[in-house]
Amino acid sequence: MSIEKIKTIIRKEWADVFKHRLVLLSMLFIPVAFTTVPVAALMVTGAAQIGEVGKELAAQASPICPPGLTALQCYQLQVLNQFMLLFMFTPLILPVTIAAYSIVGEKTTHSLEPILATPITTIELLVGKNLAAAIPATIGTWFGFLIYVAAAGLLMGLPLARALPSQAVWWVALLLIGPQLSILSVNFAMMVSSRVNEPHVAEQLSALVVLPLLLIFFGQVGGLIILDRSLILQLAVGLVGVDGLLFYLAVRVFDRETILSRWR
Amino acid sequence: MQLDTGKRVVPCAARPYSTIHGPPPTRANALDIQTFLCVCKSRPDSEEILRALAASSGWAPGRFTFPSRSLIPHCLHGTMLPADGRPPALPVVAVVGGNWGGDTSEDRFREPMIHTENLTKHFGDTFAVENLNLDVAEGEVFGFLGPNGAGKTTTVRMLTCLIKPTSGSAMVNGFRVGRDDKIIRRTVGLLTETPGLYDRLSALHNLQIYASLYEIEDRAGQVEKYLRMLGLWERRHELAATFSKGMKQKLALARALMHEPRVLFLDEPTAALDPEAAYLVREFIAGLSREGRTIFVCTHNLDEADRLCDRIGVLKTRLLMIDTPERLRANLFGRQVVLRLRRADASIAEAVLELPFVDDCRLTDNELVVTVEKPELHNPQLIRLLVGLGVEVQFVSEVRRSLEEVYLQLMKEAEQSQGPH
Repeated sequence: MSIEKIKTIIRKEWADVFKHRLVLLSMLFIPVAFTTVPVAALMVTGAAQIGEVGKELAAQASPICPPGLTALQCYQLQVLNQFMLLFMFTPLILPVTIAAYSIVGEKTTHSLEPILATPITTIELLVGKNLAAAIPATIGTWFGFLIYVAAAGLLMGLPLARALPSQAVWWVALLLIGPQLSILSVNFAMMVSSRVNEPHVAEQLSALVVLPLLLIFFGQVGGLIILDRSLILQLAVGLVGVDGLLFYLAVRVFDRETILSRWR
Repeated sequence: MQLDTGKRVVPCAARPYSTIHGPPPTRANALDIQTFLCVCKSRPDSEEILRALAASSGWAPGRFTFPSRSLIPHCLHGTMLPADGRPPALPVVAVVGGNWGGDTSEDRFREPMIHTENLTKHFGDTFAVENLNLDVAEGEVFGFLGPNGAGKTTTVRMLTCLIKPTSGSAMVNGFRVGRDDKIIRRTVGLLTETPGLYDRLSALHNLQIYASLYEIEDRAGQVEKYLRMLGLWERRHELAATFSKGMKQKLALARALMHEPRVLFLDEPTAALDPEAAYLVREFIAGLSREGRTIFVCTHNLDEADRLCDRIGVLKTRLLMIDTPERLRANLFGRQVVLRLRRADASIAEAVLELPFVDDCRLTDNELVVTVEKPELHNPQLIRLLVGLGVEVQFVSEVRRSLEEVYLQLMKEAEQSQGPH
């Protein structure tokens, strides 16, 4: 596998895809939107005084709270932690647009055939496309998290802004789960893109990748699932296998012959 | 015996005739090519030659293998690996032809750059290409004609290792399709039917991407060379989207040539171009042919094929006919001579038909149209007869059939003979 060729594909993708206004807007809009929601929620609830239920929850949360926080701050930290799932949606949704355009876009401009005629392997091509979509999505997620921490500090005080990133669970979510979800999303989008002809159709179908996470989200809202350290770790480990399987399937589905002979 | 890795002629013992075969060695392809040798089968000492070449290169003869004896017809093949497993500093790619029969002309030993044997491709129940047998020599411009859906693009895709043949075999530049795909892709150039450029990138950026993917050593130099050669250097920073069709086609040509391929596949190179742009592209292709590159061109433009190609193959799923444009005309229609006479009657035509070399003779007004095999040989006899009969011959000329007529005739015959699959 040639690193140089992979880097070439990444540079090409970024140079080409990011000149597409729609892709660029989606890349900016999604992290902003997914950060605005929790920040707005904090603005509404952050300054509120803790009620009876809140006191009970704060008491439950205090043993796992970072030291130095008051009961109210501890409660607020648990509220902040509940939005972690939104930072998993970002890396899942962001690459869909890039990946859909990077494969179907090549179909529509007929630029894939000359690429496939070079000595690049399918794996090099797909690794390049994977990273080209996953890296900006991951960076976009991290950028959103920085805004989130800053907003928490502004609205709820500096101790909370410090406590939020001090929890290992966030690091696992942002450094392990985020990139893995991006890769999952890219591979799913690439599998879909290899089978359809319109970028918009590819994008819409690829968006179905959020369904499993949406189930977790509703489970969390309904109190059926608690997004705790154990679940986060299980997700991180499970995604390694899922990503490996999806990449394998994406390579299988990305059949040069099918793509060249059936794409019109 | 001496093994030379950089020259066209490799001298070795026992009066052999040898040529470096395949792409020029570069560091980029050294890892893949290793050492590739083939020796004319007709030489009884062919295996000894290969072993001696292996020994003279300083590599372990024990690692010398003959993976296949049928990759190129009439040749044995060997692949050498150095004893310590390290890749060679330079690939040694040689074809050792045999002058056993005493013929030392280069053409005799020239291996075909493209060779197919019963190459077949079908998609489900539909045959795209059926039993294609083809040899295209080094430096030849070969034209592939056929209607839409005849299998031209499918053939090009098989030969450039983009799709796999269903059956049969093919060799390109001495390498086997299906086995040496990566090397073939590295050593051939492909101009696709549509330029397939990245419109949002500049001309320069478009070429830089491919220079990197082809692992060209002097990337900047090669990019500049071809942008200048095709007259695009001054506009290198402009987006490909702003280019005219002709300029896009030129840019795509530059992309196909940057890695200096020995074999170039051009799929409809002048389709959708205005006459001036088409002329420029055609002139450029003719120039490439003069450099000794093998050019395989699919086209609908019969006039272009006639002017550009050394030989033409007409395809309609099956190869209907393959020959030089002149011979195609002669084979299908015979060669016809028109004689304009001052006065003529049916008895003259009857007398002409009596001549043993005349295949056909028709009289229209005062024009006699005579079909003969070799006009340059038979015209004097024909005129002698007419003069002997007291006929005054005013003009003599040969009827030149257009390639279009040849093509249409072939298609007509194919439709009559080929049933649907």
